Amino acid sequence: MRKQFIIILMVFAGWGLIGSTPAQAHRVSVFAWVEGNTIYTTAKFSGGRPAQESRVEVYDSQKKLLLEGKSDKKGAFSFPVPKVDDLLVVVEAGTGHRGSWQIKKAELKDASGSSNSNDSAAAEPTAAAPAQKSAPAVLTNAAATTTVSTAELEKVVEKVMARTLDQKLHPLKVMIAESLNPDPGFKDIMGGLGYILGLVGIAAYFQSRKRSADPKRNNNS
Amino acid sequence: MHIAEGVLSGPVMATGFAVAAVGVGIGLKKLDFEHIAETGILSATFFVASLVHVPIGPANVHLILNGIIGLLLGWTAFPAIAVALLLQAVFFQFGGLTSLGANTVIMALPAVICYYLFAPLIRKQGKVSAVAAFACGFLAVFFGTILLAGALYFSNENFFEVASIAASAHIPIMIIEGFITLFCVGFLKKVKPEMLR
Repeated sequence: MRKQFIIILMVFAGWGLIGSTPAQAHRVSVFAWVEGNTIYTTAKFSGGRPAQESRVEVYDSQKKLLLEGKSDKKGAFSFPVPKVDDLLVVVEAGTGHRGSWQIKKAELKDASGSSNSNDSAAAEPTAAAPAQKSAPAVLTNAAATTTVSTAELEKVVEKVMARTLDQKLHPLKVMIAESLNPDPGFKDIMGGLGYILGLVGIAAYFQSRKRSADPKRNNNS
Repeated sequence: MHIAEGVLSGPVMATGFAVAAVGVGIGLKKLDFEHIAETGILSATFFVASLVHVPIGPANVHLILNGIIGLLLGWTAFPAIAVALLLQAVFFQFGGLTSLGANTVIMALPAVICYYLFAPLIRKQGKVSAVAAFACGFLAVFFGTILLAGALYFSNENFFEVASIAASAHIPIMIIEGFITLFCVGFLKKVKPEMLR
């Protein structure tokens, strides 16, 4: 009789195991990445449903709120880099759902570096100035032109590379964001059930000790 | 229904842990040798039930089964659910360790309430028992959403807004759990009526 009941529960457990792959539970997973001068974030519930119109908050390493916004229908949100610091992106999806993602300072350093070379190529001519000054004068001199243009070329190539890489990597990063799906796996489920089984064993052990101790006490007294 | 890490305010977390500790204490005290296996099985059931997602309605909801667990375990539902929630937090990252107390209360307290409300009715015959069983599964989830809204309210969110969102999102689950409880009770009555203490 008891066996039948256990079988029913096993069916539930089996349902949980099978259903766990497409199951959307309630964990909010956040993924954020940096491109140029912009930080992109996506948030979704495990299983892939996007966390739509959720509040997105960005904190610095001192837990100070830098900016906040709302995710769109795809759970995406983007904003310009507010500060070069360890940033924490927190997504609040309502009714107690919340997830976060840390952006390391190093990631932003890279980003601001590349964006600097984007924006300030014109605004930062001090380093390139001597080369540029000599450039017109040396135009006739073929050997000199090559030396000048290698320095310049390097800068230009770096700039173009950073931009194209950002462009080329964007879909890749979106793909990573989309494939990031930390649903509990088989191991997690089995591990949890194992712990419960162990606890049942421990409880049974202590209860049985109590039980076997009781009659002795009764005999002695 | 699980509240994530970092959402609740300090006092709510502390209250949650205090109430949960009392509940777990009472539950463990009431746990005797005969019911250890049952408690463990129901704890395991609760642990995996959260993976069964019901794709109806706007929100992402899953089975909770606190009604049937409360009905079968009474106060022992507290330790059973607390253990399962702890493991869910560790293995699945559902809920969180700091919100463990509050989550335990949100799901286990309705279980105990429904046990006291419906266990006597369910022992009766016929329609009364069936309706009580359905109501037990249904209301256990409903009370859970109310407690959830309460916990979030004291952590600075609008009570009625959260309560209505949570309750409406969980309506499919309430109905499904009502039927699950109904069938479980019907089955147990035929097969093993002494389980419905």
